Amino acid sequence: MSLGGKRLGKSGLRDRRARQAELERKGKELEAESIEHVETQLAAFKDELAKFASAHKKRINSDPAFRHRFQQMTTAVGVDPLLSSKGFWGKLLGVGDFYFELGVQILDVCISTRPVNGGIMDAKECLDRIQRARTSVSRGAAAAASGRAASRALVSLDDVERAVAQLGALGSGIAIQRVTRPGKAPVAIIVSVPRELSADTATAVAVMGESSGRCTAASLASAAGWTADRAASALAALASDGMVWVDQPSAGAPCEYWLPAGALDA
Amino acid sequence: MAAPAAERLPAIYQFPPFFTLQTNDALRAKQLGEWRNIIVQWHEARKEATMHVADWPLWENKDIGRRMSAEGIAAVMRFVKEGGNCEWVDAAKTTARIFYKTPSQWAAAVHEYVDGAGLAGTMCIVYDLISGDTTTDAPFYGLDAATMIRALDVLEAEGKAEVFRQEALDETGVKFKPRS
Repeated sequence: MSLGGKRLGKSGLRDRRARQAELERKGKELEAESIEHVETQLAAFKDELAKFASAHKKRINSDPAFRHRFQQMTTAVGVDPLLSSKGFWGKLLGVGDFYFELGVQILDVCISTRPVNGGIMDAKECLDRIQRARTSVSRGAAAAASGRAASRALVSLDDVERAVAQLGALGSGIAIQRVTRPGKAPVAIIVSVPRELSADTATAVAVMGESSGRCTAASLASAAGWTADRAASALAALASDGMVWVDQPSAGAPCEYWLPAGALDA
Repeated sequence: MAAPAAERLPAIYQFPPFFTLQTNDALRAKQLGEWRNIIVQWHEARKEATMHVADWPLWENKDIGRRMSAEGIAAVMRFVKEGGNCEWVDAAKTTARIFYKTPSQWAAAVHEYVDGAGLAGTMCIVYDLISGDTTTDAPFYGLDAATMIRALDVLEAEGKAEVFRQEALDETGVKFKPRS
C-alpha cells in the first residue's frame, strides 16, 4: 500500500518527527561537546596564566618592563589581572592592588603639590616623588620586609599613565595631557583640578600643550578659531586659578601664559 | 665679583614668567620664596652682606631675555625683609643688609659656639670673633661686623651677653654670661 515510495499518513509524520528530534539531540550533543571543549581549554589557559602569574608575581610587582609585557599579553586575550583586584585574580596573585595603590599615591602627590603647581604636574616629576616616597618607606620598614618593599618601589612612567587612566575612568577629574616642545621630548603632564576644566580652559591647555607649553591671547584665538575676547577670558580664568603663569616680556607687551610643567622643582 | 663655580640656580630661574610678578596668591608666594632663596644663597656663597638693590646682577637673565620690573623687585625685597632676611641700610631703600641667617639664627650659632669653646664669662672683641686666630672654625667666621653686632644685640636682649659699644664696629666688646 505504498504510494510513490513515500510513507504518508500518521506513521510517516511520526517518522519525520522522530528524525528531526534525533537531529536536534545530536546537535545539542555536539554543541555541549564544543562548549565543554572551550571550557576545558579556557580552564587550562586560566590555569596556565595563573601558574605563570603566581610564579612571576615578584617580577610582575617589581619589574616595570616585565609588568608591561605581562599586561600586553593578558589584555590581548581579554583579561586584566593587574587592573582587577576583585575575586579570582586579586586573591590568587595579590597583584590587582598594584594600580589601585599607585593611583592613590598619584592623587596624593597631585593634591599635596596643588598649591605650588595649580594642579598641573609633569608626570615624570610625579613619578620621582612616588619613587622617593616608596624607597624611603621601604628603608624605614622592618628589616625582614625590606627586600620585598624595595623591589616594589620600581614604577615606570607607563605605570603612572595607566594608573591615571584608571582613575580618570572614575570621573575623578584627573587626566594625562601631552605637551610637546620643539627640540625636547614630549612631556606627559597630569592635570588634576578641584573642579572640571571648562571646555574653553581645557582647549586653552591643549593649545598651550601643542605650542611649547605657552600662548598669548592672540595665538590661542587663532589656533582655536575664537574671538580675542573669548581667548583672553579663558586665559584669565586659568591665570586667576594659578594654573598658568603670566609672563610680560616688557612693559606694554602682550602677556604670554605658560604651563608650569617642568619649570618648577617644587 | 666672580661667581663661585658650584653655584646652581633653580630651574625656575630659566622660566620667563618668573620675572613677572604673579597675580595669583599661591603662585606669587611661591615666586617670592624662590627669589628670597636665590638672593640669600647668592650672598651667602660670597659672604657678602651688602646688597645694592638696583645693581644686583641676577634681576636680569640675559639667556632668556627677561628682567624683573621695578614693581617686582620692590615686592621681592618687601618679602625678604618681612621674613627677617634683610634690613634697609638707608631710608631711600637702595641698599640692604642681607642676613643669610637671620640675626636670631646667628645669635643661636654664636651662643652655641661660645658654650662649646668655653668663652662664657670672658670679654671678647667683635674683631676677634669674626677674624681672629682662634675662631677660624666658627660658623660665623668672616661675617661682617654689623651683622655680628645685630646677633649680639639679640643675645643681649635675651640676657645672654652684655655688649660694649665702641666707635669702630670691629672694636665692640662683648661679655658672654655663663649659663645659669
